[in-house]
Amino acid sequence: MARINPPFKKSPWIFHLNTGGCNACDIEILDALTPYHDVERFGMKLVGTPRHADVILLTGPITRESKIKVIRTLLAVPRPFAVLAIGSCAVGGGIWFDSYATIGGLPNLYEEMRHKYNFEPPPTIYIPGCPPRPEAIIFGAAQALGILKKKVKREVYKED
Amino acid sequence: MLSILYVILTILGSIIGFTVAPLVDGIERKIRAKIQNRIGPPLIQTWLDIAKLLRKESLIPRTAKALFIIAPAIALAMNIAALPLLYYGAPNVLGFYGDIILILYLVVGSSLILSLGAAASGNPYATIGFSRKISLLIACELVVALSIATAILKTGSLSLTEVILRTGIAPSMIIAGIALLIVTYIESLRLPFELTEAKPEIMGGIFVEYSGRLLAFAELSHILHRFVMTLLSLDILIAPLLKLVFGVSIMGVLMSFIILMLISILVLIVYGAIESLCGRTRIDRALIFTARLMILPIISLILASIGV
Amino acid sequence: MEAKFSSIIEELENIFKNCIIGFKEIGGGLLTEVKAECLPEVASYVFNNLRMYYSTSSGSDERSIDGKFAVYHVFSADGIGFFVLKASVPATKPCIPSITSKVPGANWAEREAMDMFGITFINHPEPKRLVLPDDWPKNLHPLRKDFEYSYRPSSSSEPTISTSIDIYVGGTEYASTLPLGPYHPALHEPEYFELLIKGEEVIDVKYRGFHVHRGIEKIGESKLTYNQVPFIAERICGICGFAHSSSYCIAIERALKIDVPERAQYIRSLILEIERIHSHLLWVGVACHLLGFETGFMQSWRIREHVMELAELLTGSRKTYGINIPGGVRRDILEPYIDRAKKVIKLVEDEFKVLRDKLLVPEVKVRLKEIGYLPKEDARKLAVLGPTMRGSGIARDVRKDQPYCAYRDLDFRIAVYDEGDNLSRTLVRIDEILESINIVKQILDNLPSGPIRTEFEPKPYRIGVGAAEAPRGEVFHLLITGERNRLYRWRVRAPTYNNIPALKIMLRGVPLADAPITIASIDPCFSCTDRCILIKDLDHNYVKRTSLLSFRKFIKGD
Ligand code: SF4
Repeated sequence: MARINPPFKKSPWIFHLNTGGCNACDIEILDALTPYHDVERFGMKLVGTPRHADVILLTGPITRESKIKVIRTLLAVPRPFAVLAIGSCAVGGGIWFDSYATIGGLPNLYEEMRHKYNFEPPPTIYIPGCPPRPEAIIFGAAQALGILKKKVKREVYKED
Repeated sequence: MLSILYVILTILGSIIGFTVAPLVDGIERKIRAKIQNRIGPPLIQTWLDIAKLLRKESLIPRTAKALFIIAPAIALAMNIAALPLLYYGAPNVLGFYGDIILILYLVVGSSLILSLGAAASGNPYATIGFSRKISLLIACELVVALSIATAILKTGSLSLTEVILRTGIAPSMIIAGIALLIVTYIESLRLPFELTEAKPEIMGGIFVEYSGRLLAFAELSHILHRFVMTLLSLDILIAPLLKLVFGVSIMGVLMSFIILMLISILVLIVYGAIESLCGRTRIDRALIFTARLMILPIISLILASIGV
Repeated sequence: MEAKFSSIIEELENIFKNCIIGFKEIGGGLLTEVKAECLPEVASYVFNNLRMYYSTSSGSDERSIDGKFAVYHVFSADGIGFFVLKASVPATKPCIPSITSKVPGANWAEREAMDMFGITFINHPEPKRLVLPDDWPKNLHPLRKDFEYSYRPSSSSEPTISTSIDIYVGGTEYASTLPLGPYHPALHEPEYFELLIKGEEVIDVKYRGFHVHRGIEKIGESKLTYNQVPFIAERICGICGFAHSSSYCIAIERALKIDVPERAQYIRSLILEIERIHSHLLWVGVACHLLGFETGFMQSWRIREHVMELAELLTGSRKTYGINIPGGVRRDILEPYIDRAKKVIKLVEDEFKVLRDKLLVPEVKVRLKEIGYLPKEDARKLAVLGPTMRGSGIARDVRKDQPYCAYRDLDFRIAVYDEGDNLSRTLVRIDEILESINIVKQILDNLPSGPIRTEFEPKPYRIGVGAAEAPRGEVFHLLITGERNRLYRWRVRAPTYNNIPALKIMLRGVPLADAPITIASIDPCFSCTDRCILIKDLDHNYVKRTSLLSFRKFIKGD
């Protein structure tokens, strides 16, 4: 992946998109905004419409009902933008990964959007945890902004 | 010689106003954060935001009309045009007879055109934001117009500089200035009057469809508007006093320039602090409040007409 | 149990001699089986004459047991136990009379059974789809036993929602609809409200929820064993998850008659109360945010952070604690932690009292008072729960009415206010925070010693009901144990499920500016602060412009 150094490094406006998660992730995000963690330090600001957003915080496994709305939201964000997939749900569906009512996480959605809407997925940081701690969310956000580097190496497991 | 200094000060004042207004916004955010036990963003955050927005793409809804696109630029231009017409402690040589009317037009016009542009986006939230803004605007601008009328009536001049130079200390002007100062607070859309954006209710209201560069213009003109309004009210309220104390000599002019700038920044900061302690009100209450405020300029008008 | 119900049994037997098939004791209450055609009468008698509070309904696919579909209607006989009405119909013709006209609160639960089991409810006033997405195939019912839990039918057409502004001009009337959502935080879901507004006044509201239907019940019935279910139950809701896992455990313990050690009971109560404190503080913060008091929002979340620390100290995680298991808890509370916990809770109490006095000032009260009115009788009819119910003057609380865990031994008071407006719901929550702090202190002072867990022997086809008072109201679980260490049927009902229909009453005539706080006043599991989004662009309906030059083209009519 190319080095992320987006124009919004110093002023990332975030939009919070719950796609059917259980809320725990969402309140941890809110927690990151409040005095103890205070992400406004980094210039982050919660905005109310995807049009103003630079970073989309996506939580939840993307349920069937919310799928189309999530797609529309992602299409309504002006580029360049980044996505943080927060929580095990968003990363790979979590415990609902194979349930009939979800599509099982963000990668599946990207796959579908690439085919149907010719949508090039934006830089995406995956933050596992159920829910991830606010510190983890901030760490992930810092990576997306290019402030911090990843501490783990990417390795893909292949069956021999 | 002196008039060159006047010109320099006016231009300097405009430039400082332009650069400092977003900085003051940063200071406000910092203070708000401190009141909320947070660290808060860096001081230059608002400039950073604007710089970022300028580099992002702008999305334009298909339902939008042309006005949607040109409105932010026009509003910004109007606010910038208003800057050098104001009084920065030195007689404004760039001013002309009737500039006070022009300022009034620019001030009212810029916020009007911004909301018109928003309404042209065809978004229901923007429409509601627009209707709230218009009702608030009418109430507020009446107060502004009456206050300015007081100044005109008192001095019989249509030039801002002359108004200030001629007044001296007059109760009517002071009341008008106070009314202007309060209305500035309301009109700058701070809590509890932040009704046209009201994120939890109408999610950014008039700004909802703006993005990228257009949003940057809209934000910047919004912030400049705050500064222009504040300085205008201080011009009416304090500038005559400064002129009395310091006169129009080189030193005097410089002193009044510095003091005026400092006070206007201070006022903005105090406003920011007040804001963080307030909650949002409802549009009907806001209108009632503004209507009550109307008493002040009416009194000042009466006072001015009997020459006090 | 049957002894407590004896007078009710006698009364029912006298009146409905020909209707009743039999009585059976179940874990946590009494099961009364009636003939399907008598269901509405009996339900109406229980609800209106015996004045039991309606809880929920559930369908069940029991074809593998006796070839029938069954419907359960649950009422709460306060102080005695749960009263369950069961009726079953042959699988060949799954039609059952609806009780919605007699018990209005049953509306949603019946519609859900319709979706999930394909049971038809005769005379249902609103037989529309509730839970499943619009593009879901018609004859596919996920909770039937022959449905594979991981089967994902392809969607034929993209579903659409009408998010655009509609303007009806009729005479001088001018009304428009305003969408609120789908990213409006309610229940555990993004939801979609459509407000019909006139000027700035809300006239009517339409609702489409269940964006977060994740198939939990199905997963719990098909994939997981008894001991795994508490973890998924905790993820039903991230805020009141512990109430869910507790009431699941309570239900199964009652069904299998497991004696839970006292210490485990106390630990559960402790965590439940901590959860209530953090949830209510969260609500206070969100309410402040909605009213524009950013500082109040920040301060109450600052206090809440201490509570999260406390939870981490006692359970090991900030949220989704994962300590519940049928038969007890998995993690003990160590002695040194208790002292620290006491200090934290004292701190929280002091700071919250300061905050409360700062918040309850006239400017705030004026925004809350006489807005979002819910009359007491409507509240009972719709069976609303929790602070929404207590704000309308109904003094019920599962902790008192159907005691569970350690609440029998604890001393506390139920906060009730009669006005039924947003203010009284707020006051209920504020009082409850202090009351919960009080309970936590009591528990920390007298935590009994002993083991924290017992083993148990699963037995098939036992019915159990469990309820716990979550921050938002009664969380209710009904389950039927099955073979192979798995559940046969698991029904979950969150309190917001009952509360949302009441919004229709509460929102009518409210100024638009007060609509969000009114919706929030039932505390629909608030997750996101920035809640409403409007996505108008159906199919890329926007132009992208990156440079100013191209604006000119646009203006020219490009
Ligand atoms: S990852 Fe876990 S905590 Fe987050 S939404 Fe999913 S289930 Fe809830």
